Amino acid sequence: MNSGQIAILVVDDSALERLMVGHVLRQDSRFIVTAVNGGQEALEYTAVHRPNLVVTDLRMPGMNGLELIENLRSAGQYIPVVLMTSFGSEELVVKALKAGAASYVPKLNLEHGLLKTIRRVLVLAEHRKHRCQTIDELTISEWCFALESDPDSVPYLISHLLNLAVQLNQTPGEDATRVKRALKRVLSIAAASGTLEIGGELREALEAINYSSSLKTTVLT
Amino acid sequence: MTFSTTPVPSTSSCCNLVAAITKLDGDVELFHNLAKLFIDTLPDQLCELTVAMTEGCPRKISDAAHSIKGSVRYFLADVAYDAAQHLELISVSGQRSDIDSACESLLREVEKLRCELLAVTR
Repeated sequence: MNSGQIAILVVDDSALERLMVGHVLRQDSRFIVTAVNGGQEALEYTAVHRPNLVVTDLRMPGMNGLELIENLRSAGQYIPVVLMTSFGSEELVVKALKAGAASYVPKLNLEHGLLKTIRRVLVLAEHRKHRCQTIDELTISEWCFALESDPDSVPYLISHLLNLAVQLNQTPGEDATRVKRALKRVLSIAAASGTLEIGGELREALEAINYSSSLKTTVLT
Repeated sequence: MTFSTTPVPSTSSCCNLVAAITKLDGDVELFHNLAKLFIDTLPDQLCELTVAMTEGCPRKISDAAHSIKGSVRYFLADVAYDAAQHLELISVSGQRSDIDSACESLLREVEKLRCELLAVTR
């Protein structure tokens, strides 16, 4: 594939939909489109070819779109996935978005909505890729907070720290909850006693997200 | 494959082919390919529906109806689309007699569409 070209995998059990989606996508000369007719075939294809983006039907026999996303993530493949949805799939759409789908397009609006959505998702994916590259090159990140001994400020500090952690580490949901719980405990003690010790539960939680080595925090009371 | 002219809608048409082609930005060749694919893949879709009905499996009936709904939408066959959607919805909650009736209705509408598409793609 030449540079500038974008490989897109279309997954749909309907031959008509595959034809239509392929037709829509080929309007953008950068797109190289491949189509398969089910989730299993998509997994096999992505394992070998690593497309830049997957466009999948949500409701398919066998593995549906939601299961495809879950399986891709389990396999460590964070390819952006755009869902094609139809009437009655609303609950599944919400689940799929929570599972990591990048966006969705109603099938009734494929002809006019798909290209726009895909271009937007690709721009976001490109930003994310560059951000990840930048973060990979980050060697030291240091924050200093001069805090009052005010327990009410702890939740705001936690929220801010978590936002930073998410931006730097893309901390997934379960880890974020763990870090949040540990931070709350440690910072509450710090706010009350004036000393901050990063150890025990917090250290463990931070180590779980490979974070403690770059964390330097000073609390002044 | 020849399809050089835009199909002329008849008053008794079960679909709006002119509007369907317009929706495809006037791409007659694409419409023709979609119609041909519809005709080619319909037997398999109907087979899936028939098997699901025989098994009395609501999920499979719903899936088969959903699949047909997705196919007929390109031809703006509103009655067939509504029939498929109706079967898709009631298959999981409706009475068996209603499901049978909805299925018959869908088969009838889909056959009308198939005949019409056959006529314009010849």
